[in-house]
Amino acid sequence: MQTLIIQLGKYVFAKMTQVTTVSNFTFDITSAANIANANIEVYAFEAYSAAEVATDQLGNNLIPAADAPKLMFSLCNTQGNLLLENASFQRSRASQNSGFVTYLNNFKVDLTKSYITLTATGGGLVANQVAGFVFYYRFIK
Amino acid sequence: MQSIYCKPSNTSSGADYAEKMVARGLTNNYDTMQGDECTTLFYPITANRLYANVPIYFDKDKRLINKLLTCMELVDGSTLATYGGVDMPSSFKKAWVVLKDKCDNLLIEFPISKINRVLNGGKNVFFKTMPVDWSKSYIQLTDTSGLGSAGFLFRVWTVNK
Repeated sequence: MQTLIIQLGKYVFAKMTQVTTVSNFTFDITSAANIANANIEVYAFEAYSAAEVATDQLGNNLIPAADAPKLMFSLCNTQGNLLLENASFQRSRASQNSGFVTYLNNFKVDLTKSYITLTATGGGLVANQVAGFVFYYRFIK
Repeated sequence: MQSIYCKPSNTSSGADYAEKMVARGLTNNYDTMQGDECTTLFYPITANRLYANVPIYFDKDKRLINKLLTCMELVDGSTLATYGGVDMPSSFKKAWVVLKDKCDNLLIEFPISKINRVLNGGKNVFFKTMPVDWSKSYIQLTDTSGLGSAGFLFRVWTVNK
């Protein structure tokens, strides 16, 4: 069985500014901007909830693990084309996937056009909680 | 007669893809050797380090000079109870690890729980011979509640530059 070798990695998040209606939320581009550069390929990622880390370095609270199944996410390229549609946030948590991360075939991901989707409300969700991700990437020529 | 639309193949496209990832050095057998040498680093989280959102820089360690990081593990008290003063997995959701190179470029940032095998499905986390400058890299606590009586014990696997 193969597991991850980290080349470079960056934490990014999508903040749910409200949790009362099902909606899409874009990634925070101030932290995600360099991932979208043309000379970067994303080859893997994983998602994080509060079960793995309660608060990020910017002071954002991550979503409760119990509410992780309410989220899915979609990754797009710079043209806005969907590369990965409605992926499960819950199964993208390595802790919920036997320690394995999700691999991509060297995607050119533009996180400014990618988004998470809140599919249900309630539970422990509170406005301004974030869905956290670490994207693993490498530079290409 | 075989259909021209179903050309038989000995390898699936999935297997081909896995082989490509291995060739690119992006995956590894999780039970393979982790490096040439293993160094233990212990950081007691005592009063002088017990501050939220203040970097706790790794010490300059001559054992890690001219070494490239290949694997890093955070050992917990349930795995190594006899070491003494090692934090339990429940403490690991309150900290991040940030690794940088000598030019202060970010290599990787991740929740510290990622490198604890109890919390990571028993899997080690490998690095692609990463040129970490430990004096520029740090641990950052985001919450100090429940911490202060133990510390973080790392096992760092390296190879020579």
